[in-house]
Amino acid sequence: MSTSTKTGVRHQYALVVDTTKCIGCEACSVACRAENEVPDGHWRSRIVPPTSGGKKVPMKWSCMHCADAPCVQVCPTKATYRRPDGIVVIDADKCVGCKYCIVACPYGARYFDEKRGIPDKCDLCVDRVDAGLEPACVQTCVGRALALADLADPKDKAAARIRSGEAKPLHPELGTKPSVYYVVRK
Amino acid sequence: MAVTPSRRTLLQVAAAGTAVAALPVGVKELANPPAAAAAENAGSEKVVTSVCEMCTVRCPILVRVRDGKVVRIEGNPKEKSTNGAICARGNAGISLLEDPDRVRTPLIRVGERGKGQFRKASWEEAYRYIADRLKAIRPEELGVGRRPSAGDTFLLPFAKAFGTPNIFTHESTCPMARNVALEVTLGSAGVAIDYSKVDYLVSFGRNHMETIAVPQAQGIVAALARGARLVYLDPRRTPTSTVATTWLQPRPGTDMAFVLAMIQVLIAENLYDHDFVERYTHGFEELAKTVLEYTPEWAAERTGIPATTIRDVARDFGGARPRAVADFGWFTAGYLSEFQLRRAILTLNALVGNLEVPGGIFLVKGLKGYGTELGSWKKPKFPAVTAERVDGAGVPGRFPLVPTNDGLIQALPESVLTGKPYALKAFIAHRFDPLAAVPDQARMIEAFKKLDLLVSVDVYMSDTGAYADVILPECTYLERTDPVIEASGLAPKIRYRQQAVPPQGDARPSWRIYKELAEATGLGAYFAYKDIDEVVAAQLAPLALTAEKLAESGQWTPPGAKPTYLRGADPTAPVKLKTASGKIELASEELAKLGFEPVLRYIAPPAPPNGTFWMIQGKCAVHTNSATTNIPWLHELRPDNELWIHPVPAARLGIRDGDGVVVRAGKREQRGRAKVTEDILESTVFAYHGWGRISPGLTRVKGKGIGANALMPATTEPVSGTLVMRETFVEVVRS
Repeated sequence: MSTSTKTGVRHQYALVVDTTKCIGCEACSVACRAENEVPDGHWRSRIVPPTSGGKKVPMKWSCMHCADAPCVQVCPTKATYRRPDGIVVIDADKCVGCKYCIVACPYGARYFDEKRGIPDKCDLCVDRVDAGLEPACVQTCVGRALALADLADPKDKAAARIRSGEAKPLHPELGTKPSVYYVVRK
Repeated sequence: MAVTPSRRTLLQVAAAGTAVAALPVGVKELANPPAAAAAENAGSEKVVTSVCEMCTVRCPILVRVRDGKVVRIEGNPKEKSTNGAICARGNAGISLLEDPDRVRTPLIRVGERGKGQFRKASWEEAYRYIADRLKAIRPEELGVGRRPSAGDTFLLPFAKAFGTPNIFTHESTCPMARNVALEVTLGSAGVAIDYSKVDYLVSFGRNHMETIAVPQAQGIVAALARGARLVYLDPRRTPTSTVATTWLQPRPGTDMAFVLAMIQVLIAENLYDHDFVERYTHGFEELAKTVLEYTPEWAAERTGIPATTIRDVARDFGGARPRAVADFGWFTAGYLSEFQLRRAILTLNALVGNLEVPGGIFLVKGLKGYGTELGSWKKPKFPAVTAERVDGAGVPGRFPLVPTNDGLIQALPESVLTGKPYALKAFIAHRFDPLAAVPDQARMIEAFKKLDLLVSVDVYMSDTGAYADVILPECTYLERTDPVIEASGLAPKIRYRQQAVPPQGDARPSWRIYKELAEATGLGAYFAYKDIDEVVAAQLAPLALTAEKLAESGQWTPPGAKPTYLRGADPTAPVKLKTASGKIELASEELAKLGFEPVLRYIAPPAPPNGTFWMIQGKCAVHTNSATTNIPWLHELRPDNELWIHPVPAARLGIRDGDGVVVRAGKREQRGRAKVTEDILESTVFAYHGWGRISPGLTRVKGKGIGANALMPATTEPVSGTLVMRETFVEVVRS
């Protein structure tokens, strides 16, 4: 797996979730479901707490694409691995369906796809990203709260929000170094 | 990798498609354009420009089709007001398309009404069945329930050709109070808000972040991000209160006291736009006199919101003029004060002079203003209608201000069951479900049982469908080309829904259904078009535009037409209003002549009887009223509703979170589960609208949740005709 696109540019991807712009509408959840043909009863991405009404700020919740990902560490066949550009993916051919990764993920981001026999999760719409498109969730976001950041690009505005510390990871104390960053109203 | 090679190829095509999006992407077949040529293994991938129909907003979409299947729906990135976004419902169009619960063949009832027992029939047999019964009644004995949309282009002429005045929509269950107030005050219901440029927005329960119109929600989020303020009033905490800069919890039914006090402060503290008031309004003196008594202290006693807060909001609102807007709402079928409340909100807007300036309110700039309009296929003159409407819409002494193409659907049971003024004998409901939408469901059922003929044209066996004699399966919006619709705003715009995939089963588009039904009924002359392409060509002829050209981006604005604010450059520029005075009518002689209150006057809400709660309802973000609650993906997101109840009354009643509850209003009763939460006032309970469904054809959602409409009487506000759907008081007990 290469770290570069056809143009030879290096990438370091992250997702920025601006909760001050999130309206909790779940457009991202359904766009993901459609784009990735996620089986009935499962979601790769949801809003937590589910939709409306809660006191908490609505928060998009999916795979955090951790730099020190427990799911990568526990995978006995190296089916789950992190690409050099930061996206954590699963090689279905190597996966033996042991589900260790589901248990290991502290963010509860994985589900077991019975039909394909593998534990699946958000892959940041890796094929769309490799093709120069935004992930489906970012593309459909009603509040424009989501942004794909490229930390390898010094001019990237979303990456700047990460570098400045305005966008922060969830549960950094877990030590997994997530690549999903949240902006929360002060 | 977790993805097959063919999928990767597809995505490269999609990327190429985006790259050329600066050029027209439009495309009946993406097989020819450069994008596909670049990607060799493109296969049958194509992108069709179209228009969403998962709610009434009608956002422009791109439908990605592979091997005859819709694989993805995206927002059309060419639309500046949405930036390519669509909501959860729009994204779930595929789930509607593929839902096994859809009706895909005509059905004729075999069992008792409401049991949902039908047999499959051919279209010819279904048409004959309907035509035979229609021929046995007088023209005015037919009622039609239309859903204003592109498909409705055909039911309306059918009704007019048949000769009935009894044409209904769901409007009286939703925005009618607002629309009639706009007509009376500004001379047109075609008024909109320039959300993205607003500096100070006050919303009286218009829950933008949950009752989502994507352009509005996106505009407000962008405005807030650049420092605009949003004051939001709602007895319930919602996603809108989460993003609002100020959230206030008034007692139900008292919004008008808040508005009147704001008006009083603006006038008393001289915070209004004098020049605007003088030039563009009528009746200011009367207004100033009547609002004298409505001080913030007076309003505080009624709303439960401190007088200082009300005064602060009024001052900030006046200070932000003219980019201050009081939202006149959408669902406005709440209280008996609703018409007066909407007039009061429009008065607030007039006082800050926000008409036709950026960040204010504006008259929708349609094609007509540019000297053109959509054409139509040629049809004979409709027969003259002499019979009066059953509901009194447009009739002096009854409901003179209610638009006659909307009517009052709540009047149907009275007509059918009492024969006053005469009995409707047949009803055709097009994508309209009175049993789910209209209060007093039990009486509507009684009426439906008594009809000689009930027809439901729908994608599902709706609740109304379960009682129908015939269900005609319309295909979904992804399976049909529709007439072009106007989607104008600050500039004129039209949109074009194109068929993306063939209809499933034996479902048919409405252009064909009503043409064929008309032919079976002897009214074929009114539908003398060959197909939808001919209809669209006739529509576009006056615009010197072809369907092919329109299809390129899916929407079109006349060349040279730009977003226009009539007072943008010159604050004294003329603005033509179609009111009697030609001005904004703060006091209305028209209302006085009709025997209604001509000036603003507070209408106090009733007090809940001891031991009862206000029952209010609203929408959730992932459903469009009752229409989507059975769609698999959306159902999975929110399968059920709950009764929101505050912990204090819940403890008193021994109700814990998740407990089963019975909600009672007199003899009416609904069952559901309690959600014990501080997000609602102690005096009030809440449930999302769209549950309590009864059709056996809705296999997922049937029998789930609380249907608040079934608890309510059908009370009508006398001026605007709106239903009063938030003045029902309920008892709650643990079940």
